[in-house]
Amino acid sequence: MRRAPRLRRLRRMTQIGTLLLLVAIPMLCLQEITVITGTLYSIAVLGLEMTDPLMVLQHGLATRSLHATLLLSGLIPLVLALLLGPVFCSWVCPQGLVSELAENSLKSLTRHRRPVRLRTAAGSRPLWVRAKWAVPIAGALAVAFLSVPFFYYGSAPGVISRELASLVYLGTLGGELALVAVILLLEALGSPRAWCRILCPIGTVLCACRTPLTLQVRHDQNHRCDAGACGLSCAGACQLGIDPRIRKDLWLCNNCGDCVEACPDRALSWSFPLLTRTRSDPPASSPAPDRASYLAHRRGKGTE
Amino acid sequence: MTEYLRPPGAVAETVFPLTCIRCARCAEMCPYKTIQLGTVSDGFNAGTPMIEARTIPCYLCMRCPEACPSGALEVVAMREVRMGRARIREGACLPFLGVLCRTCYNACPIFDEAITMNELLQPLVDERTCTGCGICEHVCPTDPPAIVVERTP
Repeated sequence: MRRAPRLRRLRRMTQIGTLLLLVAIPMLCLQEITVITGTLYSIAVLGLEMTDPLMVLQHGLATRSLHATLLLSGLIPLVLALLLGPVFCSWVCPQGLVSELAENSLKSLTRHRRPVRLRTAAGSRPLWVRAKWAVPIAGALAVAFLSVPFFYYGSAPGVISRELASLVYLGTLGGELALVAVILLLEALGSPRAWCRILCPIGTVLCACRTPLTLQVRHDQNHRCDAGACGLSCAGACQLGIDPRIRKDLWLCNNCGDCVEACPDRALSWSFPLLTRTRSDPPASSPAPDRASYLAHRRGKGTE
Repeated sequence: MTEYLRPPGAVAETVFPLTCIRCARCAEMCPYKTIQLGTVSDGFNAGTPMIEARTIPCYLCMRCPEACPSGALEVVAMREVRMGRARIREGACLPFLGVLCRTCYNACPIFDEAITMNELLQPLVDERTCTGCGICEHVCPTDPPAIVVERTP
């Protein structure tokens, strides 16, 4: 079996490490070691608290009040996303890991590539991109007016972590885990990584934290992508269907690094755009990878 | 089947499911596994901490309120806890039936205050000092228990 590339291995280790940590926390608590407690809804490490921003929103909307420390603890994940992008989704989230592995095995089982379309034929964003916000907005309305704990039920990482804590600490399991089964079914029968791309409310929020300051994948503009030679391995490596050479696609990117590693010419790298812009602004004569030849190439490969 | 209770220091039941962010930290802090977590079958209360005193009562160690990040549990002194109020069902309580029993009286953590014995050696609950911890309900030898904690509204 081929060894996974270094970055991917590192990422897998942090994903699995998170899962192990979520099992270890209740196990340590059983020994009354409480330096780290909680779930992915809210976790406390040595007194430092981090809370799912949507749970903070739910708390605020439902109680119609502000809780200062809770608010601060909810800002931490947002600030991290602002600096590093939605790395939570690709490096930490247990649902991300499960979905990713499921999609990988589905791909190798069926030997069938299931393309994701981030753009319509005209090059604009398809409807689902704009519809993404419907989930968190509908959730917020449900919380505010019906007092439904929507963001509790709708957080896949939260549900997984809570169920692990409940199973290890109390020996009980709840039906909330059904969400994971529904997600896997939806992604297997529907569109690949549909939950992560479209439906996940916290994913939508973290993606929206992207600013000009945020760490992002950068395509070396001086590099001519000889599509035939590299086989567009970058776009092929991305389960979310992003072509990292097209800046317009990057709003969905969660900085997993698979494309960076897949590029045989090392034409992709990570950078903080503000820090690097001054150094190497692309010369006007070198156009961004042009769409026509890219599409022709994809058609040639039978993927579009 | 008795009513579930909330952990010590809980805000009013009407706002509790709105305030709790369901992080499970109170349950993880509880050394007695008193705090169970609601599930889908509890609807809006899914993920919130629930106590069934008859199974495992609260021993008032007061660790859970300190772990709560949302303000659903507020830090209070042990004697100020009001999770509910014990009520004796005299028709089932042994001393009221002429059998000597002082199990709840002996077990009550607010000893000789929240539960006292009258001159007939029958237990009486003092509503001003009862914390509603449910230890009396847990230890009551009759089945169903002759002393039951009713949750604070």
